[in-house]
Amino acid sequence: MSDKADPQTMADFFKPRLNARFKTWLKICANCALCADTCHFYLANDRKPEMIPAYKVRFINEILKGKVTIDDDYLKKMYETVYYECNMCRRCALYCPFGIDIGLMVGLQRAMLHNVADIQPAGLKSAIESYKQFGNQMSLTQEDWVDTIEWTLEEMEDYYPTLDIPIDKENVDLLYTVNAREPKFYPQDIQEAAIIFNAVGESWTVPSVDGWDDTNLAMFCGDLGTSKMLVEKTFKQAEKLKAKRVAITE
Amino acid sequence: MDFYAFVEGPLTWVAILTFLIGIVVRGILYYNASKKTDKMIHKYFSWKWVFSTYAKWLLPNNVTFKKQPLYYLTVYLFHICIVMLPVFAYQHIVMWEMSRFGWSWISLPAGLAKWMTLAVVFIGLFLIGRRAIHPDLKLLTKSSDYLLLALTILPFLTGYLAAHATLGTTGFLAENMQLFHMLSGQLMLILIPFTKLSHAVLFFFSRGATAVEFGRRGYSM
Amino acid sequence: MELYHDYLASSRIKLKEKVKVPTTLQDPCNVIRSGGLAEKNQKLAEMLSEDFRPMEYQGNYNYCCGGGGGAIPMGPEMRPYRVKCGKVKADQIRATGAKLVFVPCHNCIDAIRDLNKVYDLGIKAVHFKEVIAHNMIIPDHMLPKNDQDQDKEG
Ligand code: SF4
Ligand code: SF4
Repeated sequence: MSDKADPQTMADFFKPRLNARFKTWLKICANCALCADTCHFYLANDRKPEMIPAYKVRFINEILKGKVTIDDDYLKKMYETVYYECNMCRRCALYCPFGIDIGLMVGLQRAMLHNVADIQPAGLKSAIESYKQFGNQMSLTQEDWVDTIEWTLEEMEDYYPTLDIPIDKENVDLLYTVNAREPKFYPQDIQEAAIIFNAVGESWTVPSVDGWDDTNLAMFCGDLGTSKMLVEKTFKQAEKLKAKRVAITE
Repeated sequence: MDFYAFVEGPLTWVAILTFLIGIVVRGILYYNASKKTDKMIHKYFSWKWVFSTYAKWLLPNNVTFKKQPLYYLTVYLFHICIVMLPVFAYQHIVMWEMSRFGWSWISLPAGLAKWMTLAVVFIGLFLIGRRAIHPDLKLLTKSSDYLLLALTILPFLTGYLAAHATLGTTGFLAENMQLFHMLSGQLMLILIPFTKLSHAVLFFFSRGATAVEFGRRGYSM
Repeated sequence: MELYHDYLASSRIKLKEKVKVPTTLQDPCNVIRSGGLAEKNQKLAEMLSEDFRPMEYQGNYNYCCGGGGGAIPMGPEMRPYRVKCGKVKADQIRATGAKLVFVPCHNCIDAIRDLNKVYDLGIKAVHFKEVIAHNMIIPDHMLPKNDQDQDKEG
């Protein structure tokens, strides 16, 4: 456990980040359990009461009240709850009579774990490091990316000789960005998109340098700094290339 | 001034004013805090989403009602009675008529009021029982939930007993029922702004905010 | 996805044929619930298929596939929990009897392909663009020259 993880620091992390909505929600949740069967975790775990959405945000109140001892067990429990028991899908918010958005508050708890206690899933952690270093989640360098595109084109040459994936073209209508899993695992996805764009004669381009990965995994563990950096990168590209719109894969 | 007169007079005013000022202040506090911390909501604010969400959730006209219609209607009835009775019970209106304001308005028929009062009491007891039995609720419920439910029932229970003299006319309880009714009612009024019961006002803000949040994404809820 | 919808709706893309097998559609949380594209999502699926069968709760109120909120990139650590809660989605898909599921999200598609294996759904999960690219009428100028009249190019 990190030495920073004392209850006070945690409470101090929460306080400025609890906006008016969150505060109200924590106060007025009627503990009515109407949200229970809206969550797929609850349904799939034989209606286990611990899976009720409202139960997954208890940590905030507990920590703010300062009544709990925060030890490894507590943090482990919290980690498991906010990662293994919630997809932050926000379905429960649609069914709560008060419109309490548990997904958002689970996000806040993840952020606390990441920023204060330095606890986060290994998979997301490595993705964040990769984002910081390479600007995408799969640790691909810019050359890898451009290579992938060129190689994709070559492969398609026999079938669609005029197929073109414009890189860094200016004044286009559309800046297309992908999920970094595509160049790594599913290059055919890029081909298919290219076929469609070529067929309709869209004026489009992909960025060669930063911002071509449109995923934002940092968001999922509450690393807002990295998360913001990624969004900005993409939109800076759009500005530089004077693209009118940004499209993401799908 | 004897105790009864004190409770009937000044304490009633204190309770009513605490309640009214309390909920207005709650609303203002929420609004100010949200102006500062929920800029998104204000940026995308539109009455369209807010009203449509009220229309769905203030009436049994929403997804949760469809999911659990019986339970929803029960709790819905509970709330309607709680809001209507204090304002429209004729015994209360008589008090307003006799007060310095001399106000008067239409009242609930006595028979209906009686059944509504009983409904609050029995639904309240049912909700307490449900919390004690249902595994989901057992996990979520805190002692304050029981306490607030009990305190909510109390003014209605005492009101019923006082109005219908169920316990006869003698004995400590029966003689002071009116007093207990006023005290419990005042306690509840005072508690509303400060406890979970503040959902009476905050409901509108919370629903509104979430409706805008999803409304700006293009659908009403 | 929105783009593809608009292409098809405005006939910038024409289809050779629609998908014959029964299809259904996933509503990825971040695209639908938090992205507001429910209608276009469903319309696109309908335009592409002959036998589209909406699943229960299709649209904004749909369940998550279990892969959301970073669950897929968390990898093996999360897999047991993800697969478990994905049962809800698996049952939904099974109930439609669909053989092909449109999944306009990389996370969901990995999650649903995994569910397909675990719960033996006998489905294929595909992206829209996959189907579009296969089933659309490719403009002549894109085809290899030796197959086509020479001067169609441009
Ligand atoms: S946001 Fe979390 S708690 Fe709510 S329904 Fe989705 S997975 Fe369940
Ligand atoms: S989050 Fe909403 S639905 Fe769930 S227990 Fe709280 S008030 Fe009830």
